[in-house]
Amino acid sequence: MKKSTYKSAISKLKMSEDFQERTLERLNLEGNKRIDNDKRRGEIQIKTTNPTAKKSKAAIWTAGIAVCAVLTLGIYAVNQNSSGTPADPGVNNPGSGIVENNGPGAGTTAKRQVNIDGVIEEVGADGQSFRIGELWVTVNENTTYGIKGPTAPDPSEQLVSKEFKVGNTVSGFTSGDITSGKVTADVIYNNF
Amino acid sequence: MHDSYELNESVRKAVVNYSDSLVKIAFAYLKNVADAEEVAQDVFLAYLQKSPVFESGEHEKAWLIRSTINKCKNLFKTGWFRSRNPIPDNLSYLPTDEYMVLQAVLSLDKKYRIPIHLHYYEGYSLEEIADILHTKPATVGTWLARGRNQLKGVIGGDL
Repeated sequence: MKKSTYKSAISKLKMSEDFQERTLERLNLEGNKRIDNDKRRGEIQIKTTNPTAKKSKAAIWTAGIAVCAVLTLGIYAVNQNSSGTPADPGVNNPGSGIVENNGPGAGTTAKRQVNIDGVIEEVGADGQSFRIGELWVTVNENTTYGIKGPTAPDPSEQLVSKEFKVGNTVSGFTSGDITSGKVTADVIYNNF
Repeated sequence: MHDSYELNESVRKAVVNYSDSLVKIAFAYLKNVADAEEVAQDVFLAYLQKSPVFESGEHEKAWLIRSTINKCKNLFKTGWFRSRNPIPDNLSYLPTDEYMVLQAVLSLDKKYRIPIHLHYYEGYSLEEIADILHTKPATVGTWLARGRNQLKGVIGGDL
């Protein structure tokens, strides 16, 4: 038996004539299936041929990030002001209720904390106390009147009177506990 | 990683270049052309799905042969394959001497058939067969020697 007999025999082995075609067809089908599956799962990157679309996308992202940054800084700044509370007269200067003007930055102190607000329903006999709802508010020599600060209007133009009358609208601030039902006002911003 | 065009082209080339080899290796293992073709198709499918990267054409062929042998082994393990009784392929179109040699080789244990096929048909050396079969060249030498001895007993003379 010659060495080449096996090789010759196996070479003559008959395969399907269309084996390669069938195989390629099956592979194509499988390849298409894979592409379909990838599409369904969103794994194929969408390639855009329009460069302006890419640019506008980048611009939108940049603008979005910038807006987010501005908002973040804004929120941070507002919170800083609130926590610093230079405008909180009751806390910083409970005795005087005077807001200190610390220079140009104090322009933001137009915001005042108000915890006395409403219409006077009853005035005490001495005229130094009044009732708003269930809360009796007393004023004394330490109580200040009006709004102070660089942007505040002139005292003569402010709607604040030292005389309390039933029906007047009052807003002010007290460092006392308003849930106790009786407090002493630190500041009266308005009384008219 | 290939892109899809590159991969399809590689697989297409592999189908054209190696179909014959893979079907015949699978035939040497399974003794049935239809099963062998099915296995070869599965191997090309695995090539498409796994998209392996090869250092050379030889590396690619070795991977395909290794995959074919593995798939044949897996097929042998399946219950339905073992339980069936297929009609043997009609090889009577082969010249008598070749038919006898082929039948003699197919009658050998799988362990000896595959090294004999890889050596005498594909022309691989002992080292290359050892590399494909993940074993030692000495082991392959032993398998070849034992296979040849058994063939001597059946058909006499060299293969």
